[in-house]
Parts: sequence; structure tokens; C-alpha cells
Amino acid sequence: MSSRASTPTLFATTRWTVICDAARGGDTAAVEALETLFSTYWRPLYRYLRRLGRSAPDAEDLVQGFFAHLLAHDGLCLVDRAVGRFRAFLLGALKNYVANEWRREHRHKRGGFATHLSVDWQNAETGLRIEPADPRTPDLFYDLDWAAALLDKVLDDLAESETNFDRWKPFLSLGSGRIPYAEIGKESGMSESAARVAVHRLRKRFRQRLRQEIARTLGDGARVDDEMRALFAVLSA
Amino acid sequence: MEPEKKSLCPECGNPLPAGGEHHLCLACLMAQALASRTASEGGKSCGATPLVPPAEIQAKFPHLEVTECLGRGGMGVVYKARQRSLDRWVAVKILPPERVGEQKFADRFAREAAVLAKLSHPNIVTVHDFGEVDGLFYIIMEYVDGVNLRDLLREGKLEPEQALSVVPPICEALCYAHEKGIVHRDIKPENVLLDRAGRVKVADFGIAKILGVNGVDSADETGVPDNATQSVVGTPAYSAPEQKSDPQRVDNRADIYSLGVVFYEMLTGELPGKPLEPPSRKVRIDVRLDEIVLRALERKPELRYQQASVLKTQVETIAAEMGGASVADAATRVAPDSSPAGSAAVRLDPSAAALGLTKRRWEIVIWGFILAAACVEIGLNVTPVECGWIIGIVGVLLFLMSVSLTVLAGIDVGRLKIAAQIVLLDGIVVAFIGIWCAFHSPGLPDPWAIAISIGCGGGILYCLNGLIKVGRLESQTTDPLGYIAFFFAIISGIIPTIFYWLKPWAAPWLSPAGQQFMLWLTLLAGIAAVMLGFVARKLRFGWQATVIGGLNVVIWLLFFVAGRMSPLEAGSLDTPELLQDETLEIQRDGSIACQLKSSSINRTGHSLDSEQFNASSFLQIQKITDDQGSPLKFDVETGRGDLRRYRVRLEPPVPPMGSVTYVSEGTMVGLIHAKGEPGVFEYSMDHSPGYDGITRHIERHKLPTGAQLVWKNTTDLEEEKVGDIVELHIDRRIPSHGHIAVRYRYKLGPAPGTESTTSK
Repeated sequence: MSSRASTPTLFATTRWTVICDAARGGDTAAVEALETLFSTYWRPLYRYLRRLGRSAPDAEDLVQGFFAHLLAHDGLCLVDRAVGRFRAFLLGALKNYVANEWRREHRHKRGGFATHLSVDWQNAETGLRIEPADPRTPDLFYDLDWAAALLDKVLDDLAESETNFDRWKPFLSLGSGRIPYAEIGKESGMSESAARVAVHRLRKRFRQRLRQEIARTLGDGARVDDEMRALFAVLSA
Repeated sequence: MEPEKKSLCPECGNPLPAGGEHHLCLACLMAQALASRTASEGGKSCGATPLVPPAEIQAKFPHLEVTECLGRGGMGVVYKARQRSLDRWVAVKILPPERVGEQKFADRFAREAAVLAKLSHPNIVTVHDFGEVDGLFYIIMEYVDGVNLRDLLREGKLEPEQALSVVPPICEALCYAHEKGIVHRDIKPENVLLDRAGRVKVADFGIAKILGVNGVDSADETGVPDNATQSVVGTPAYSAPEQKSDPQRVDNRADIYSLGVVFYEMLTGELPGKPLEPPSRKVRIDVRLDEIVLRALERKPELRYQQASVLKTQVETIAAEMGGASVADAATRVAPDSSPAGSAAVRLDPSAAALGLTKRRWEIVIWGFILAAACVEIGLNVTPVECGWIIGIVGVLLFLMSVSLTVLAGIDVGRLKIAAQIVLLDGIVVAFIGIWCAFHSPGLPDPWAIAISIGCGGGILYCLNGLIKVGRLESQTTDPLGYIAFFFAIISGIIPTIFYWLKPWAAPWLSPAGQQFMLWLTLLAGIAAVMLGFVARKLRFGWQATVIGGLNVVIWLLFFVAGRMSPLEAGSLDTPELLQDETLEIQRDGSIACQLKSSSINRTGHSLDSEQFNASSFLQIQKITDDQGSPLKFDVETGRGDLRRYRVRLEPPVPPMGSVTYVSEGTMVGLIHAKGEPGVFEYSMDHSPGYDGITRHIERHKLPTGAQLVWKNTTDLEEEKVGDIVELHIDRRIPSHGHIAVRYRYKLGPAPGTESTTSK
């Protein structure tokens, strides 16, 4: 926990609309923060493009280009602060961008963008090839990927901040009726009630982080529950 | 791709998503996050609208690193922060600005916070600092890394063991604070924190008072309760009735009420409703917990536990009994590395646990024993005539005792229950004596019979009264099986007690069949007590009934197997040889004696002296019957006859001790049993029905001083001078029977030369 770490943590709870406002004003810290946010959620975009039939390098270029476009041009002006969801905004903006880009495809050169995201493209390919033909639309898959990215981000954060996270992680997705507290306690050398507290504490942290993370992607924090339900609907479809 | 197919979500059974490095079912993950957090809480979370943005808070506390918002409630917003200087985590509570606007808030805040900062207890969240920055009132507290009780309760009730391990530390915290005169005023699951080691810590002590919730303080300072304070009612479900009705008189007992609500919720997963249903009706738990919870939830503060420590002790006792090692283990392991004070906080008192009896139950048992012993003692030493008086006196005493206990109990529901139980117990005893006397003294003159009937009826009423009271007090927990078992246990003990101890007196009037019945009843009652008590061992009185009933059965069997004369056989002489040498003789004291040879004495181990029919009267033996009551031939004079077992039936039935019945024509011929002071004799006389004058004109007769008493043996009609009659009066008559009870005093020792003049 260096002093540097405290600033981003504070921003972690700041909504993207606020960040966008700041970035528009030329705040470099805000641009950085936006970049962090984007780095979490670029993958659903990439996979969306791949599903549309773009080749891997093309999709890569497009996502990179899209991000630069957002920052360089007035892409952020499109943000509707009142109702916006980052998820919907990104997809809409990307579609827009791709349509435009299609027209001037040949006028751009790969790598010609000022901001280059350093991300693991390879990992983003997982599952793309093996997924069977599916009547579901790429938009739906985008939402699915989004939810996965969101949860991954939260779990990654927790893995970083919580000690022994791997030990307790499996219980996050279990209904509490199925959790054998006594057994866990015995294995971990603690009392049953301490095990119970440990599990609940982690669940609570998870919920907090999840809500924070979702709140970041919303224009209005009061709608966290709606967004959660929407994502759940997508995941359980 | 094979391994991915294998891994299925243990919750929903669907395959886990490919590629995710966390190998969790995302749908279930989200479902859990959704399920355990209700929408209403979403509003409270900081994700919504933080009162003050963390950045702003950060700006105001340069010495802290504010990292996140932990939660928001009616009492303010809490942030997690790092104190740079000491490198420790702290929780910063920002009090709600809308409350801060109140009059004199700053004063009250400073005063109360200073008191709170002095609280130092392992089960209380420590206050590090407090103050005001730019109009923001804040309290910096110890950061507890864990969950609050609400988080645990969100998924329903806790296991009873867990609830039992959480309550004592809360009691400790309350007890400590109460001793310092600090009342929490807002005990609720949100304020009970459990850290990662399972330690329990109570948060937000006295914050309610600082904020003037319920008009506390703001009312007594400004005279008129503020509107702002009135509008905030704290946490209604958890606040004691007097917190709403009379907030200024709130004391530590309000916290005990709130703790009761929390306890109730932990056990059942629900808040106590109206009408209040005992927890054991909702979930399977020890009924003694009902008693504790319901007492904590008494609407009147006087009826509640007065000290948190008492509640704690009772909970710990039950915890120790219930789980034995496991709970004690949990309780001690909850705080494995706490300070010595902390471990003391959860240590159980082994002696109390081992005894398993609360003081109250001992009291009842002891009372019951004393009274039973007293009654037996009284029964042994009084004549039936006096039974009416004894019953009356005992009844009055018991009545006074229960009344005084009930009056005392105005402040203590525990004593009220004891009083009611004594009433119940003594009602049974009194009724028993009354019935017994009425059945075994058929020769009583009417007024005595009436007196005894009244005493007996009173005993039954008394008993009913006790039953109703106990029932009412326990109505929330009535599972009468324990009581029934205990009743059987008492029966199994009382019957042989009475028949063993009282046999010389009682046996002759109880038919052998009746004795047989009583004997088997004893055994059956003992067995019933053992069985029912075992079934009800977790209920009140259950296991005590098992133990007592079991002991009685064992004693019964010992007696039976050893071939000792069981209580049944009292009064029967079971030896053929006996008869050959036996002569029944009417003694001067009115008893009838059998003379035995030593051989027969050895045989039964009984000296017939002790088997004398202690009739205490002069009687004519009119009939001798066998076991079944059919007449037997038996020559009193020669002692010859053809019976093996015999039974002397005295007819007319034996009158009360101290009186004598005789048949004559107005001439006193007999006496008597000397009892009490030497020289004072009592007897009654029977006048011939034909002797009209006497039956019509019964008066007190004073014998002239110096009159001589003549004693006549009915068998040989030999006269013997006994002494000088000093006084005589005839004080009873029963016209239908022509019986007259005559009492006289006479001076012991023959007075030569003076003839009896006791006639008429």
C-alpha cells in the first residue's frame, strides 16, 4: 500500500461519467483513469468484433483505434450522463466507430495511433473458436463477455487485496446452505463460527467491490441493482 | 477441452465457463451477490450517493488515507482509512450533518465522546479520536475487519450454539459500559461486529445519545424535544418500550431488551412479533432459552434481567449443557489470541455448568423437601382430630408465604415463579393430607370431618391456584411433560414415605387390597417418572424427575427383593406360630397388646411391641377378619384360632386419639391413653341409646375434686382405681349416634377410699 496506490483506489469509486468529464477537460490523471477503466472492458469489444467476422489483427486494430478515437476526438461528448451505462455506451460508440472506420479503412495505417493499449490479445481469443453456432446475437455475447470481464476484474482485485483468497474463493458462488462451515473450520484450524465469519466477510467484500465496480460503469449509482439484475439475466440466459 | 467439461458448478450443475482464470460459475456468483443483498440496502451502500465524497473526506483528514466507504446508516457514514502515523486501519464515522445542526450538539458531542473514549474493553469497538472539521463531526474508531451480525442474519437464523456464543461477549460489553453508567441505546445486529477471528465487538456505544435519538438528552436540555430528534426513532424494532414512551428514564435495562430482540432474531431469524411467540415454538431449541429471551423481552423494565451479567451467566450455563465441549470449544476458540481479559470474557464457569441447576430450581427442591418432611413429622405426632387444625395452620402459613413471596416478586419475575411453584407443591401436600385424613378417620365426629373436608378442599383449590399461576407464568413455554414427570416422581416418593413412616397408624385402616394398590402405584409412578422424565430431559424438571423416580424405583426394589416387610404389610403379623402363644390384651393405655414368644419375634424381626395396635383407646374387639375382610374365628381370651395371617379390625372404628368410646349404661368404665402431660387423660364415652336423659342433656360436668377414676377392663370387668378425677366435662354430642365425648382430668395415683362418681 504505497501512497500512490491510494489515489487510484479513491478513483475506483468514481463513476465513469465523472472521469469522462474530467478527461474532456484535459486532465491527464483522468485520462489515465479512463484508460484503466477501458483496459478492463476492452475484451468484450474485441470479442464482439471477432464475432462479427473480423480477423484477429483487424479487431485488434479497431479496438485500439476506437480507444484513441474516444480520447482524441469528441467521442466522450456522446456520453449521456443521466441514463448512461458504460456498457451500452461503449458498444454504441464502437458500432458507430466501426461504421465510420469501414469507410476510411484504407486510409489508416496499423499502429498509427498515438495511444497503444498494451493488452493480452491472445487471452481474449479463448473460447472464440470452439463456441458452436448459436442463435444468440453478437450483442448478447457482448453483454455476456462484459459481465465476465466485470466479475473477473472484481475477483482479480480481491485476489490482490485478500490474503488466502484462493482458499475462500469457491464459496463465493455457493448458496450458504451448501457451505460446510464445520468442515472448512476443521480444515483451516478455526472454529465453525470463525469460518462462517470468514466466508461472510469475503462475500461482503465481494458484494461491495462488485457494486463499486458496477457503479463505476453507470451514470447514476442508484441503478446498481438494475444493472446487477440485467447482468444476471444475461449470465443465466 | 476435456478438463473444462469435467468442472461443473457445484451450485447449479452447469459447466464452468471456459477461459476464466477463477473457475467460478459466473451466473451463481452474480446470483449470490444479488441474493444476499436486498434492494433496500442498496440505498445505504456507498455505491449510491455518498453523503460526502471520499475525496472530500480525504481532503479533510490529511493524516489519514481514506480508502473506501464501508457503509451508511442513520447514524452517519463510515469510511475505512489508514492512519499514516501509526500505520493502522481505522474506521472514520462522519455523523450525519442534518443531525449536527441541532442545538447544543457540539457540547453534547464533546461531552459524550469523551466518556466513550474512556471505554476500553475487548468486546467494545475502541474510540481513538473524535472532533470536528469544518462542521463535520467525526469519530475515529478501531477498524474491525469482519462482518456484522446483520450480514450473518441475512441468510436467516444462526445455529443455537453460535447464537449462544455471541450473546455472552455482548453481555460483557454491556456490563462493562453499564458499570460506567453508559447505556448503548441502540443495540442491533448492525452494531454487533464479528472480526475475522470470530471475536465479538459492540460498536456505536452511546452514539444514539450523542445524536439525541428518541429525544434523549435534547429533551432534557432544551425542555422541549426537538422536531428533528422526534423524527428519528432510532431502530424501533430493537428499542425497548420505554425508549418510545419515556425516553428520559431509559437505563441499562433498555439495552437488555434490545439484546433480547437480537437474541430472538438470532435464534429464530425473525423479529419478535405481537403477540410474542416463544422461540421454541418456531425452532427446535432448549426451552430454557425461551425463559431467558422472554425475560429479556419483558415490557416492564422491572421484570427484565436487571444486569447483563445475570443474562450472561444463564446463557453460558445452557451453552455448557447443550453443546458441552463443542460450544465451550467454540466459545474459547472464538478468541484464540485475544488479551487475557478477552479470554476471560468467554470462559465458562465449570462448576455452574456441571451442576446444571440454577439456584432457583434448587430452591424449589429444597422447599418441597422441607415441607414434605414437616408434613410427615406432623402427621406422625398428631391425632387425626388435630389434623384439621394442622392443615388449617399449614394452609395459612403457606398462604402467607406465597403471598409475601408474590409481593416481593413484584420486582422479580423469578421469585414470582418460585412463589407459584411453592403454592402448587404445597397445594398438593395439603390436599394429600386432607384426603388421607378424611379417608382414614371415619370415626371422626362430624365437625372434625367437616374441618378436614374444608382443609382438603382448600388444599385442592390451593393446588389449582398454583397450577394456574405457574401455567400463566410459563404460558409461553408450556410443555408440561417435565412437570408431569416430576409429579410422578413425587408420588413415587411420597406414597412409600407415608406408608412406611405412618404404617402403625395408617395400616390398620387401609385394606390389604388398598395397600397392594398403593404399593404398585408407587412402582408405576416411579417408572412413569423415569420414562417421562427421560423423554422430557431437556425440559424443565425433566431430568430431575428421571433421577428421583429412578432412585425411588431402586429403593422399592431393594425393599422388595430383600423381603423386608414392605410398607404394605404393616399391621399384619404373618406367623402361624404367633397365634399359639398370642394373647391379645387390652392395656391400660388403651392399646391392644399381643404377647409373643421370642421365637416369633426373631422370625419377623419385628417386636410386637412396636406392632401394638396403637389404638390409643379402650376397645372391645368385635370382629377379626382375614386379609379379604371375611370374619375369622379367633378367641381373644385363649388366642386360639385357625388363621395364619390375621388382622384385627377394631369396630367401631378407632376414634381419634385421646378419646375413648365405651358402651355402658351411663357408667364410665374405661380409659385411656396417656399422652401429653402426665395426669391429664382424655376419653369419650358412649351412652346407651336408651338412656334418654343423657343424650338430651349434655352438659359439662365438672367432677368434684377428689373424685376417683375407676378403670374397668372389658374382658374381665375388674375394677381398678386409677386416680382422682379433678375435672370432667362432656363437650360433644352427636345425637344420631348417641355418642358423647367426655374429657376429664384426674390426678395420677390411687386415692384410697374414694369411689368414682363419674356417672352421668
